[in-house]
Amino acid sequence: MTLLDLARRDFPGVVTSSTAPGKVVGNRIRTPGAGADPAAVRRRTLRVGIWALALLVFGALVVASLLIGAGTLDAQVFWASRVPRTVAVVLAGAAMALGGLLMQLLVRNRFVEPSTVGTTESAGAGLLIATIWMPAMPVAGKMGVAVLAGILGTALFLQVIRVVPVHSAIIVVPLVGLMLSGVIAASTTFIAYQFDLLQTMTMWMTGDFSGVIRGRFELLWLVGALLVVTYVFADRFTVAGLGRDHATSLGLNHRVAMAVGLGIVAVSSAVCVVVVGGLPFLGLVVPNLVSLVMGDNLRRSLPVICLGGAGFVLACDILARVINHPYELPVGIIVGVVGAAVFLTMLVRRKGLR
Amino acid sequence: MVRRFAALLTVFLLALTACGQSGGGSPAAAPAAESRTIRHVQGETTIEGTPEKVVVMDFGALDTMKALGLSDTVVGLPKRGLPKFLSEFGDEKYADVGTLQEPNLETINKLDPDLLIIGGRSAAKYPELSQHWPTLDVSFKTDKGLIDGTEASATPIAETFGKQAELSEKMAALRTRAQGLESKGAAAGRGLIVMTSGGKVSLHGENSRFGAIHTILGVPVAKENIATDGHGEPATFELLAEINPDVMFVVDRDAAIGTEGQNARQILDNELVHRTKAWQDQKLVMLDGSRWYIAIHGLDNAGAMLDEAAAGLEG
Repeated sequence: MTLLDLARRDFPGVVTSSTAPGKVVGNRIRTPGAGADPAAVRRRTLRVGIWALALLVFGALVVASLLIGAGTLDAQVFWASRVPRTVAVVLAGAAMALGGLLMQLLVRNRFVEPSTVGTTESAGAGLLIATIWMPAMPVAGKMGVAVLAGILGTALFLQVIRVVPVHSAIIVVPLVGLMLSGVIAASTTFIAYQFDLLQTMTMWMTGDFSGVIRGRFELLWLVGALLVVTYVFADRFTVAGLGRDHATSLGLNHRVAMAVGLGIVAVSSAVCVVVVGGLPFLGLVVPNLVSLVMGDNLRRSLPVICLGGAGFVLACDILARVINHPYELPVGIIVGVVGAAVFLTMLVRRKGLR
Repeated sequence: MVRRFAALLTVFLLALTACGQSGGGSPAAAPAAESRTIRHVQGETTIEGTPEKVVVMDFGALDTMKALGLSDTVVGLPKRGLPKFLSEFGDEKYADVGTLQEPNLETINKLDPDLLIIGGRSAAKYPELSQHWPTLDVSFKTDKGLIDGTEASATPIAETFGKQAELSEKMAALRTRAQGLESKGAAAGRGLIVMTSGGKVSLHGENSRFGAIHTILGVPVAKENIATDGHGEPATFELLAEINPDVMFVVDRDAAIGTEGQNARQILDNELVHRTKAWQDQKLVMLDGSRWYIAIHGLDNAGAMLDEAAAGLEG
């Protein structure tokens, strides 16, 4: 009996999308009489179909990303510019989408993500402070400051939402997060303004892959490593998402799981901000769309979410290269516009979907 | 409002003292201050007499004030990001009146200036500032080009202080200087203007604020029709390799606004830029951001910019 099996026994329908308690075979959930239940068959067919389609689309996007650019394609352009950019987009897109889901699980609210609770803004504030007071610091050091600030900002958010009454409307927590990130962003803007760094700050915080070349994105591999860590501990995060009391009664050290999970979110958001800038709404849109179809079992939905986030940013980044060819558009703007539109649609249609 | 009240009060007190005078010598009448109407970018401003206390909110205009021998009339300016070539204005006898984008009205009010000169980054504040003080907007208009633009910007200042003769003299010298440099530019090969900021690059064309490289020095363009947006066209290093300019003119934006970040050479020092002829021949002309990006249209600065670019082509 793993933690997750216990959780499934106690909370059927919460932990997985299947309404019958299931048995784990490999890493797939077999529901009793799956073959006989036409609904289950339909669900599984749908899942296989989604996977096939997702992989196909993703593969096409990767190929397009490797072929599209401002320069003429030769070996050096391919390895020094196209491959690094594609890898950076995939890692950042996957990390930001997953960061959104982790945060939603641990805060137990569908409508939070790093850029709406102050994590991203805090990381930006850290970067700014390091730039102003420690200009000679190497990039790794500045990133460390940004990561630390991201963790502090996330912790601050968690402290603040503790006073939100348990039975408040679902929208209260994200609103508190938005206010908090607004306060942090305003303070950062004030400091940046004092030092005439407003435009530089804007450039940092707007996601943009145009400067990515071999030797200037490798820190993102750290984010890739965190994705693997998240996958390994996926079940614990899923259980932690059931709430402190339930998780504790199932034998999970809830405090540690929360700390590790939010640490992962803060570190990967901060690294993404420092290397490529902000990718707003990604962590809201992708996990919510995937959850609608797959439920909240992190181990099962994690690959899909990573693929979805990476694919979405890839598509936006290809657009960013094509619209103003041979010049660039900051991809963060495109991600923000499309993401906001999808998110609003989801909010409006949510009642119909549930 | 306050000023008007103060003026009324002064008149009133003067009238009182005049009334109180027991006959005899008539009061020495001050010469009536002649008023002039000066045309500038955002309309017309009437100025009484010759201003003696001026607040300058634009570094190009400040350079022009200095060039016309009017430094003594300046009482306040934004000191943050003051270009090195204007460092004498960092002296404490000049008040610090906020930043280029955000004038500090309280400080300006304390100085009680009789003229404000604004432009570029402070131009948006004209409606507010001109309510309180006579204000000239001398913003540089990129489409006029560096030389005519500099003249257009300096003209309202010269008219206000009766320095038209000095201005014509300086402009004639600037035009002669520019003509002397044209042949150098034409022989330089295909040139590309690159601005670096935050690890990324943007390209600027002949109609940009850096356009004098092409239009006055006559450096042939390496790429046609680069749009004239204020911050240029964002580009990849791939594109720099593709354009393959013979010479690159580089403006380090982060240095211009006073950050000690990665400098431009570090940003450009990568395998894709190494493929360009400009890098291989070490034809990277580093331009002083405070001259090219911040001040631009100063009467002395315009000539210094051209000299800097031309010297870079030789060196």
